[in-house]
Amino acid sequence: MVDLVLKSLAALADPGVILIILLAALYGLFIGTIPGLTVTMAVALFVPFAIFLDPIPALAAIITLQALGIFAGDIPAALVRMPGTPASAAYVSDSYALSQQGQARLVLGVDVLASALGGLMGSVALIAGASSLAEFALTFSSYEIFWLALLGLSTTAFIATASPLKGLVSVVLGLLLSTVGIDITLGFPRFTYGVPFLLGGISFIPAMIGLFGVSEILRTVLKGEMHLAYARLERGPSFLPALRTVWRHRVNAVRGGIVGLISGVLPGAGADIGAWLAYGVARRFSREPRKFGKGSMEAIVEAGVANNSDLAAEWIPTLVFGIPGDAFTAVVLGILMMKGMRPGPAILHNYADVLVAVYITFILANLLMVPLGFLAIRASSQMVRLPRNVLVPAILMMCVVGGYAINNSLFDVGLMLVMGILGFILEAMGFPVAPIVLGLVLGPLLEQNFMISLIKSEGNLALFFSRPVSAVLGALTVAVWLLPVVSVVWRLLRHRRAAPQPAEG
Amino acid sequence: MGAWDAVAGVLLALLGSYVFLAARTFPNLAGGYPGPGLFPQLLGILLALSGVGLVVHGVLTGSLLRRVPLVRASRKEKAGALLVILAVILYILLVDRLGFIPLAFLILAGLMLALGAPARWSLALGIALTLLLYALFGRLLHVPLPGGSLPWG
Repeated sequence: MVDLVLKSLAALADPGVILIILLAALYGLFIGTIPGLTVTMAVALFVPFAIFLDPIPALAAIITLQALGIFAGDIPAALVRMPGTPASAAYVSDSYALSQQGQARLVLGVDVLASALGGLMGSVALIAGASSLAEFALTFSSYEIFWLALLGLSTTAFIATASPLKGLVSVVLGLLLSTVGIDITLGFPRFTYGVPFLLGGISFIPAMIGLFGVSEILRTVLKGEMHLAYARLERGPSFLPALRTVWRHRVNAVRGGIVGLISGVLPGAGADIGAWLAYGVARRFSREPRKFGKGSMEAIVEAGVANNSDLAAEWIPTLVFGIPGDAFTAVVLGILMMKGMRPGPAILHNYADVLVAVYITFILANLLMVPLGFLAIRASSQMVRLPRNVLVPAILMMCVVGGYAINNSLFDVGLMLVMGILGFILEAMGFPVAPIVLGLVLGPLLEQNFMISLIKSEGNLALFFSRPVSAVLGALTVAVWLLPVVSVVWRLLRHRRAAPQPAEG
Repeated sequence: MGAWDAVAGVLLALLGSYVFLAARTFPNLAGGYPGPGLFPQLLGILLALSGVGLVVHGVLTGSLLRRVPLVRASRKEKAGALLVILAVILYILLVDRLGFIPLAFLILAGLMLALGAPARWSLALGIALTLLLYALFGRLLHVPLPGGSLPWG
């Protein structure tokens, strides 16, 4: 173990790797600070580079950009009342209200420390959780993997969305896209319509750049140049007051960290859900619940810790089961596969050095967050003000070249555009986009284990529940499917009773 | 989302039915085991049912007849979005002929101008970003960016 740690440290101490980590940190801070540009988009645009890098620097860069990007999402929340990433949406009102009372610098300082603390809690959980879960996961057969994949997709569809039905549609569309191309059982080409480019399947990277990059660009352009109200960033010290504030709310910090860990390990709930959950928990236990939404420091600490402790925890199911919990880790899974590192319990033995490097990077990135975060606060007013009409064309060309770079194919650029327009329209109609990517990534795993299980059991579905773990996972999945049905029926019944005449609903 | 739910519902029901019918023609494994068609068939059924569900939900909640605009934006903003799409299409059609460097510059500077950036900035940033992208992808990552078939390519 010790020599593994030393070996990974040596790999990370390479000047080139350190430079990559620093650049990734700046990149994450930049994208996170700009409202409308998400960390998922940042990683999608980074993939072409990740493919060319060795696994350790590639993963180190991704971890760093994510940690700093999710923190940086707090910056515009405090300054212009717009979350930089969805993960900061829960406590926007509180951050902005405090900023208007002249506490912007304190709020941002607390954001840095809460994020770093959350990230460190998540790192510890990842290190402890991954290896113990992997032992357990070694006993899994195709039944358990099938249920786990289905459970992850089902929670994405039903729990984490405003409309379960629309979430389901998104997941199914993603799964359907994953069936395009040569099928694995018979080598039969499915839905390829004689197009040779489609035989290998829908190329994951261009599809993702389209869904997260191009559709985001279209949304930004349609929103026009934003006229934002800026809160002023007052002068003065920020580190010690922020530290004192976090210490005063240490109970919130620990509780937020735990809530974030839970939402992270749960498949299908990402950092944004973690922050909302923590916000709710904080209000429930608060002595001043009325202050929530109007400038509650408790809310900022608790949810700010939660959305960062979620991040590392998301990696546990991704690495151990190959089941990503959110769109970001879905991208990570795609990169791992492209590097030939098949996630699953065996990954801890086969790529022990890479994993130890991942652990170390998580800790390093969150320590690095403190100095870089405070520097970013100084530059934040300028970054938030960057004009959209220059940013949009620059990011569009990044998307085009990035989509092209994986297979050097213009067909992929076209695919990226189609997915971008599709993603934009679906989101405008209220269909979430993240489940599409999850479906696209998990589709082959789900189908493969479904077919294997079906053939093993000779079509007897009862056998899908025959092993203790598979029975529990299966029952959980069924429960997740029944939940929205029950709630829809319940709501319709109440709707009927409350309003006998057709109501505007 | 009002009437758009009905539109989406009908389209999804049609797509689902098509997928189901198309997947039924896929071959089966030997010995009567289900083959490549089973999974897409199940997905087709789910999609079609969800589509019907969206329409039914709209009828039950009475929101089906509410007309909501899909996109709330000014004419200028909509034109900007169309230009973004057009830029990608132009890139696909022209890059092999014009080459990456001239075309990327044209798209970058042109889009900046069209979206309202000052001309001087558009030109300067267009050149700088083109060279940056070329250095990053063409040189650092060795992506074979098209040189173009024109004399300067």
